[in-house]
Amino acid sequence: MNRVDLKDAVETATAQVMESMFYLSSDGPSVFEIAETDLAIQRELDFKQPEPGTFGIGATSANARTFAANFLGDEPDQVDESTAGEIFGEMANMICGSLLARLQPSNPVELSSPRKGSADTAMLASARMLRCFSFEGKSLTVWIR
Amino acid sequence: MGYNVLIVDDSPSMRKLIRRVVSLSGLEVHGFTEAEDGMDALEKLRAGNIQLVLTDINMPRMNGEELLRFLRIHPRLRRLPVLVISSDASEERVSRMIALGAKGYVTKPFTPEALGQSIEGCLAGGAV
Repeated sequence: MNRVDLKDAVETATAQVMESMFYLSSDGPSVFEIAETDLAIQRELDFKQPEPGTFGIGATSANARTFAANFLGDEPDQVDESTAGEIFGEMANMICGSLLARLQPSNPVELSSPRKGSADTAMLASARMLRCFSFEGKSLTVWIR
Repeated sequence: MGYNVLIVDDSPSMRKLIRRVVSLSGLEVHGFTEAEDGMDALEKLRAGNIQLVLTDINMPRMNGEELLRFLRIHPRLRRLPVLVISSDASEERVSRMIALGAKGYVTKPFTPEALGQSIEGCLAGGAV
């Protein structure tokens, strides 16, 4: 994967999913950093094309519950961690699906089911791609390894 | 009167979201039925009077493609309008699902407007 194209594609795919499904606007371009080390809610899934890899997203529990609440039309305190995790799985699926469709529009997107991730700081630092987004003050970390 | 809509998705949260978006789309809905995969959908279709199916593709036990194949050979269900809602936006997948008889294909992420228009087109006939 071309690194410049990949970064742009991740930016566009993530912003589109967050705006249309989570009703949140981006605060600006993503950055290459780990803004929060406590990524309590993580989901990862595997893909095979254009080359095998693992796509992941993570956020703090509070931010994940806010994202999930926006998705469901509920209040954050009505969303438990289990539900937030399930919605993070959907979010990972949609962002990765949208990303791969941009990178290879003619090939069907084959993704594994989302699973709980356990990426730590060291793992994220060595990821093939790492971007930290801010949506209305809430951080979302996205990676490919 | 309104439509009885069957939502087929293995994610309860996605089913809830679709239900909310369809309600906001202006479609006159009489009732929603939910199924967690294709097998569950077939049971609900046998039991109830469904006029529109909104289905995901990747699901356990029976996926959306297998569900479509089954519906197209079923004498009573073959004309039932099916709209596919999936995160796979590839041309090959869209073409395959339309060829199998889906009346429409919406990619996730979607806006309420896009889903509403696709449902409208799906119910009016013709692939959208």
